[in-house]
Formats: sequence, C-alpha cells, structure tokens
Amino acid sequence: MNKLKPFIIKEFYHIFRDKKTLLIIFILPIVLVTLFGFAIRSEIKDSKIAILDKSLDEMSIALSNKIIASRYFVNSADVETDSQLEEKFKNGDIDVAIVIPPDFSKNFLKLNTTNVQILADASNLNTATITKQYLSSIIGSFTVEKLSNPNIKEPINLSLRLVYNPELKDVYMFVPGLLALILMLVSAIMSSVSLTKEKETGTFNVLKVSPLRSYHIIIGKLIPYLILSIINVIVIIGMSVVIFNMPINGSYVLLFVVCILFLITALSIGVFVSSITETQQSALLLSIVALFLPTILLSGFIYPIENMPLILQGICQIFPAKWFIEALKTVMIVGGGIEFIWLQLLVLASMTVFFIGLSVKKYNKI
Amino acid sequence: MNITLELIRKELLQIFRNPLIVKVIVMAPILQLIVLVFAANFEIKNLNIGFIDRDNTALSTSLKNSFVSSGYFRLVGIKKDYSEGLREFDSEDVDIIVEIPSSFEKDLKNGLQPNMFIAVNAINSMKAGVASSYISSTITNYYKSEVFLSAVKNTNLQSLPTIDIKYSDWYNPSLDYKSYMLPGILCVIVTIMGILLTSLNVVREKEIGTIEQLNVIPITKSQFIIGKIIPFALVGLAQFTLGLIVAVIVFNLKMEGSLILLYAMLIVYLFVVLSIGFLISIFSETQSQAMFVSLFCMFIFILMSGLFTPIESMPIWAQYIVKLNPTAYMVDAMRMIILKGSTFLNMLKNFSVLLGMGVFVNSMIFIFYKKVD
Repeated sequence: MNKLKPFIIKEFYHIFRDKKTLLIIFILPIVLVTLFGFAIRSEIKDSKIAILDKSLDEMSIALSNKIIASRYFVNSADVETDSQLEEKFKNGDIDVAIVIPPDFSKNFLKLNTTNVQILADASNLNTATITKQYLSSIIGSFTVEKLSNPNIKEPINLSLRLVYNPELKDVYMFVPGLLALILMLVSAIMSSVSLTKEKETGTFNVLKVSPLRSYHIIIGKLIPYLILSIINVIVIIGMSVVIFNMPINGSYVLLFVVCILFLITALSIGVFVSSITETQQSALLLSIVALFLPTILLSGFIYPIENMPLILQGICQIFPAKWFIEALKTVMIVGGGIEFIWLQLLVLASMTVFFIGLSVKKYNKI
Repeated sequence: MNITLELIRKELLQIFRNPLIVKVIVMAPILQLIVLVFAANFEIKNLNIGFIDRDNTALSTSLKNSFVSSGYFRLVGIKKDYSEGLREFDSEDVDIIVEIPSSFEKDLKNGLQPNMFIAVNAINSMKAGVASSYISSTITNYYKSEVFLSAVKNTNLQSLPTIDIKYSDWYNPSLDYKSYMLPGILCVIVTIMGILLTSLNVVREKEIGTIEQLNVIPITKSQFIIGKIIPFALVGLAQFTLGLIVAVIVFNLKMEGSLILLYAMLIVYLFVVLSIGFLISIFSETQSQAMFVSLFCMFIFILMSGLFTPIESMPIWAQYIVKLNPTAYMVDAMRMIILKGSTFLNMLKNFSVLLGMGVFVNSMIFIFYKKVD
C-alpha cells in the first residue's frame, strides 16, 4: 500500500495537469445524458402522412380528420391519384399513406365490413413499423365509434395493466442504457490512454525499473480513474432522477455497488487494451471500435436482446453493458434486491478478474 | 503538387506501418456488419406470455391457442396466482400475464361481458406498446374464430363491424431489417474510423514533435490540408467498398440506385467528417483531449442520425441539431439510393448540405491552423 500511495499521487498530478481533458471528462457525460435523455425516443410523433380519399363522404372525412387530429400524424401532401403518391414517397415527402376506396362507407354500413389500404415507406423500417401500429389502432377505435348498432358491445371486457411503467415512459428504457454506454466508453478510454501514454513517452520503462510490481501499476492506475468515474456516476444518476424522473425503488447502496463494479469492469477493459497495444492511437482505435457500436447494439440499450437470433443472444452475454443494464433496471425500476441481481454482479466481477488477470500476465512479460 | 503527393504517401505509409490499424480497418466492416446487422430489430417477436386459466373450458383453451398461433407470443408456465405471477416480471422471464376468469365461457354464452385481466411488463415502453397492440389484434381475430362465433351466436356479442387493413410496404416489401440497417451501419463504421484516425493525426504529430518538421517544409496550407485528407479518404473508400462487398455477398443486398451516385455522396461525406476530425486535432493539445472531443461528436453523429431511433420522435430542438448532423444526411442518402433507387435530383438537398458543411469546416481549418508555430 505504501508503495502505491506515491504512484497514485503522481497519477493525480497527471490528471490535474491536463485541465482541458479533466473538464471534458466531467462535462461530456452531463451534456450527453441531457441531450440523449430528451432526444432518444422510440415514440413517433408527427409522421408525414398523405390521405388519398376516393370516397369523400361524411364517414371517410371523419376518418381522415381522426387520423390528422391525433398527435402521431400530420397531413403532409394533397394527393389525388395513385401516381402522385409514388412521387411523394420517392422525394421523402411522406412516410405513410392511407388509401380510402370509393365504396368505403357503403360497405361498412351495408356489409358490416370494409377496407382501407395503408402504404408505408418501408425503406425507413422503424418508422414504418411504428406508424402502421398507430394507424391500425386509430382505425380500430374509429370502428368502435362508428358502430352501426349501439347495442353491440365488445365481447370481452379487457382490463390491461402496464406494470412498472404505466405511462409507457421510454426514459425507463433509454436512461439505463445511456449510463452504460457513456460510463463504459469514458472509463475504458481513460485507463487505456493513460497506460499507453506511459509506453509511448517512454516513462513506462521508469515504472518498470521501480520497485512496483505490475499489479501495483495496474491498481495504481485504476484507483484515480475510479474516483473520477464515481463522481461521474453520482452526477449522472442524480441527473437521471432529477431531470428524467427515473425512480430509485431499490436500495441506494446496492445501486452504488452495481455502478462501481461496472466502472471497475470498464476500467479493467481499458487496462487490458493497453496491455496489448503500444501506442495511444492503437489503444483508442481498438477500444472505440470494439466497444462503441457493440455497446449500443448488443446490450439491450435500444434493441431488445430477445428479438435477436440465438447466436447473437449468445454474443450479447460477453458485453458487460448488457449485465449492467439488467442490474440497473432491476434496482432502479423494479426495486429488486440483491437476490435478483446476484448473477449480474457475479458475471461483472468475473469479467473484471478475467481482464485484470490477463493484463497482469501481459505486463509481467514486458 | 509533388509535395502533396509525398505527404499523402507519408500518411499512407504511417497507417499501413501499424498492423493493428490495418487489421481494424479490414476487420471492423466485415465483423461488425455481419454481427450488428442482425441485432438492430424493432420487430418484436417471442413475447413470453403466461396464462392463469381459471375457466379451463373449450373457449378459454381456444383463446390461448389463438395467442400461440398468432406467432407473436411464446407460452410460458407461470404460478397459478396473479400476484405471484407478477413477481415473475422481476426476473424478466415473463412479459405478459393473462388471467381468464372462471365464468369466462358461461358469461359469453349468456351474452355477458367477462372481465379479463392482462398485465404487461412495461419497463421497456416500446415493447409494451407493441405487446398491447398484438394483444388487441389477437383478440379481434379470436372474435372471428368459429369456436367463438358458435358460442355467442344467440347473443348480442357477435358481428362487430370491421375495417380490414391491407398493408403494402414499399421499397422493402419483405420488411427486411437487415437491408434497412445495413447501409446505415456501414456509414457509421466508416464515420467512426474516419474521425478517429484524423482527429488523432495532427495532435499526435504535436505530441511526438514531428509537427515541427512538417512546419518547416515548403508547403502551402491548402496543399497541407489536401495531403492530410486524401489518404484518409482513400482508407474510408476502401473500407466502404469492403463493407459493400460483404453486404452483397453475405446479405444479398440489392442496389436499387446508381453506384456512382452512392460513391459521389460518400466522397462528399468523407470530405466533411474527415475535416471535422482535423479541426478537432488542430484544437487539441493531447491525444486524450482529441479523443474525448471526437467521442462526443461520434455520440451525437451516430445517436442522432436517425439510424437507431427515428428522427421524427425527437423533440423539435433536437431535430434542429439533427439538421447540423452530417451523418444524418448520409444515412438518409444511403437508404434512399440503395433501397429506393433515388436519383441525383432526389439527393440534391443532401448533396448540397454536405458540400456546404465541408466547405465551412475547411475554411475553419484554413483560418485556425497555424502552420508555423
């Protein structure tokens, strides 16, 4: 421990000397959490729709008005023929179009069944999938309103309950993922750069001939950056509670433990990257390319893991962010105790031990 | 001109001297495209549904069957109690719990509305929204099933009027998520690599000290900028081509539009992002500063590009930020050219905006880069 102390102090001198970097490390997560916490949404408002109404009677106009009155759609093009629709799609003027056939109302009233056609620009598939769902539920409720016989009622009385998130707020889904992504990248980059910089400038040789063992060096590098990252965690958890109304239904201590464990995992990945690279450039390239897109896509941050093919679900298991996000959601939203997240904690801990073990081995050889 | 060529040669040598960089340049598009394209899927399937069937009659069984045969749900066994079943949400093994009341069949046959309780785990709001709409469409289909109709035939619970919806999905009729995500992910991979390499470039020369040598060689500012951007543009083009080959071979991607137009857009786009990388490099004192600033840009470029979450769903102020985001224009352009077969006229806006950004960033470099310190 005594050997470590001056080393840690030296590391802090390094950190405080580069004031710009220090400032960026603290400001970056704040700006990103604020920005994306508001900007990343899966609910779509104001999709651009064109309504081609070939019926133009009371009922079809009522349907058009109902669609445009909803906050999901804005009428973006006046079209009179099918060929105009194609042109609007090609220019990207509309996302979706609905075609109401000439005999729409007649069939509804006489045959009790009628049809409409929905055309979606599926080259923008996410928007297309979601807008189609909105349209079909608007049309569904239109059907019920226009029931020809008021005695007819819905056969089963459904009471649907949305558990944990009754207002369907998507911050519950995105904020934990955002925390994981930002903490992962910032921590891994900090630790990998600080070690490779010593290699590049040659000061690593000085460390090597000092009485410090390689695990001293690694721990001495981890502790200062862990302290910086803990400040970041406190700030962004605080922001997600204050600004985004994330609940903390579980224990604060457990939440803190989960976060610190994840930070150590992220930092140890950075250390591992530094042990297999010689320059800052290589270390940065490797850590960003290996962590950036996979942490966005394979962690359950935006896309649910259960939807993926089985092989990919297997690959997701090796990304620490996946386990962290699960644990975070359980502690913050569900309010589950350690009995629900022991597996997540165990996996993160084993990953940390694995990466630190490998790095110590690598550094011992140098 | 010769001296610019020499500078380009020097940069290319520096890139290819580092075997790790070469590996990353080659492997990133191949591996990441193959793996990540499968991940980006909003189409929700396999929702785990558990039933608490207190009725156990032909009608309740056929209701369960219509859930299973809809293809969206996967039946899981749960405890026989509603509140105990709710606890299973915690472990994320169950997404939906349906409780069918004991008088289900009897009520329906007597023309009474039975009450059915459904609980949806809504931590993931999008999944819950989709689940609710699947549930209601499954139940609507159930109303049309013969078992149901024959049970309620003498009551006033039958013959709800319906509006059938025919869907046509243009430009991607099979709703293929892979061809939808592929152009965008390829664009993002090229972006990440381009910004990383350029933003570290000048600052690295500053840190090692070789910038002094560059400062004393007789080269004008514009020659210098061109000489710095072209090699990385070549890397970007090579990486993109590699990705496109993977897309065609592995994913059978069909190009609807013109390849020349696609590459023209790519060149303008690279001109923008690489210049942004250089601008970061010029303003930074250390590589870690450059890196955190580029990380910041990458976050914004990628998460606000409309690739992963729709731009339409962002608040208005965020949509203005998107208007300043070159990646958003490029992702859009790639999807339009590759999937829709859009022509240059359709691309005019994206093209001119990107070109404008490129000119702007380069004039910034021109103003702020002091060749001789």
